[in-house]
Amino acid sequence: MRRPEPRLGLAALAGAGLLAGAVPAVAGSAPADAVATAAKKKRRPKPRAVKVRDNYYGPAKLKVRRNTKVTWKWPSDIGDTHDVKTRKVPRGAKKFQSPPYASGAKYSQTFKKPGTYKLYCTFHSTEMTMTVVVKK
Amino acid sequence: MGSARWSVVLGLAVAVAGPPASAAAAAKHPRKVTVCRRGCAYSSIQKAVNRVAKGGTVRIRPGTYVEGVVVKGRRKDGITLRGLGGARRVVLQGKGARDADGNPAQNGVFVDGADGVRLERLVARNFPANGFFVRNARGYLMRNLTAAFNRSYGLYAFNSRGGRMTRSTGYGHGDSAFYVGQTPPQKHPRRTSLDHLKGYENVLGYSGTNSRYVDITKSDFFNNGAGIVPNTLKSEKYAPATSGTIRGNRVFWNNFNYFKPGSPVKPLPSAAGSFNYPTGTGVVLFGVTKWKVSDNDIFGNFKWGVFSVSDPTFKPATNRRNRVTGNRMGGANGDANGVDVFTEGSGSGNCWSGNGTVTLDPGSQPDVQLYPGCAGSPPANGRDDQQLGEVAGYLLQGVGQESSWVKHPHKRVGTYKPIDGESVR
Repeated sequence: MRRPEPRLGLAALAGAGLLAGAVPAVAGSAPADAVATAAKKKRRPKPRAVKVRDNYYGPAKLKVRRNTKVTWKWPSDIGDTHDVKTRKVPRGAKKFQSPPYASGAKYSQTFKKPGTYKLYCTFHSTEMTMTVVVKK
Repeated sequence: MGSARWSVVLGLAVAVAGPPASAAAAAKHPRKVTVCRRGCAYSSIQKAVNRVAKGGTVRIRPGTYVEGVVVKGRRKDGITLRGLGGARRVVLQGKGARDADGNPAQNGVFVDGADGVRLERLVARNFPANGFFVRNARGYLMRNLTAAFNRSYGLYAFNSRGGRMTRSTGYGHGDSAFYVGQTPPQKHPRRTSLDHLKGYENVLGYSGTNSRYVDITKSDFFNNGAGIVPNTLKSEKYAPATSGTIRGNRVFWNNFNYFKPGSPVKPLPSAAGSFNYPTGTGVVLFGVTKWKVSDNDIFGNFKWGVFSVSDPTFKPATNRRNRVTGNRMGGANGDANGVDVFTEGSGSGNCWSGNGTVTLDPGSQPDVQLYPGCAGSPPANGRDDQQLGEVAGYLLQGVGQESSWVKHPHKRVGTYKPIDGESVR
C-alpha cells in the first residue's frame, strides 16, 4: 500500500537545521527537538526494494532491521501476474497478502516483529518464494 | 380484542419501530442496482458492486468506464454484472484506471473468492494484466465478453472448480485469449466448459497450465501463434494438466509471428525458460495426461497441425494416455498444415487414429512406432531423440521460426482474413 507523502512541517525543517539558527528566541527547545528528530531519523532503517519478475523475487532472501519498510516492485512494461503472500510468520506478526499485479505496481509492508518470514506467490507457489529475516 | 384492533396496534408498532430489518437490509444492499455515466445512483461499477446484495444484479448502461472492478469474498457470491444495450456497448478501459492503492488497475473485472459470479456483455481492454479474471471460485459464468489487448490473458480462471466461458472473443493478448490454470484435483470433478469462443491474434488462443476437467468445444482459434495449448509446468500446483477434451473446434491459420518488430502484441517472458512457444501450430499437447483431441478441423497452420511433446526436465510433464482421433486435418479441409502431426514419441499410451490421410513428421523410428494407432492395448511409445532435437532447434528461435514454415494461400473461411506471419494485419 502506498502511504501519503510526508508533509514538510516545522519539525522537518527543524530537523534540517534551518529553523534553529534563524529563530533562536522563538524556538526555545527547538534545538533539543531537532536533535531528537534527527536521532530518530537515524534510527529508522533504510527502506528496501524487491523486484517481482517471472517467476522470482529479487533478492529472494533479505535480512533487515526491525521496522524496515520493504516495497515489492513489479516491472514497468510487461509481466505475468504475481502476488506476495505470507506462508509463515513469527509468532504475533501479522500475515499479509498483496493484490495480484502484472506490471506498474508497488506494494509495501513494514516488518515490525523480529523473526523469519516465508513468502510466496500464490500463482507460482512451487517455485516463486522468498525469505525475509528481521533482526532484533 | 378483535383482529381490526390488533392490526391498528401492530401498525402503530411498526410505524414507531421504523421499517423491518429486512427492508433496511434491502436498502443497504439492494438486489438490483443500475450504473451509468450520468444520472444514475452509481456512476462507478465498483461502488455498485460494493453495494449490491449477494445474488443480486448490477446492470450497467452503455458507456466507457475507466476502472478495474474487484468482486471479493463470499458476500458477493452469485452476483451478476450485466452490460446493457447490446454487445460491446459497455467498455471497461484499462488506460488510466487506478486501484484503491493508487496502482494501475490490473484487470477489467477480478472475481476473488466469490462463487457463481456471472459476467455478461462486457468489454475489457488495455489492462496491464487480464480482461476478466476469476480466482478461487466454485463456478462462474463468463458470457458475451470481449477482451482486447490486455497484456496477459483475456478470460482467465485460476484455482477454481468448474465454470463456463461462452460466446466470447479475445484478441491481442501477450499470453492467451482464454486460460484455465491450476485446477484443484477433485473426487467428483466439476467440469469447466469453454464453448462458442473466438480467439485470434494472441500469442496463444487457449492456454491451460495444470488445468483439469476442461472441455473446449465449438470454438474458433485462428491467427494466433498457436491455437490450443494445454500444458504442464512446474511453476504451478497440481501438475499435470489432465482429463480434458478438445472437440468440434476449428483451429486454423495459427501463423502469427509476434516476434517481429512492431508487433502490437508483446509475448510475456517465456514460461518455459529459454524456449519460446511454437508458432505456426494448431494444437499443442505439452506434457499432458488423458486429453482427447477429436472431431476438430485443423488446417492451414504452417508448421504443425497437432504437436505433442513432453518436458524432459519435469517428470509429471510427460505425455500420457492422450488420444488424437477423428480430426479433419489440412488435406481434408483443402488447406494443408506444414505437417499434420508431430511427436517426439515420449510418454506412454499416446495414440493417433482416424484422422484421415495425414502427413507425419518423420523421426528416426518407423512411423508406425512413433505414431501408433488407438486400437488394442495402449501403446508403449518411446522417445525419439532426433525429433526432440528438431523441437529444441525450433523453440530456441524467435522471429526465425517462420523460416521453416510451409506457406501457401488459404481457402476462404467466412469473413476471416489470414495474417500469415505478419506482425500486424
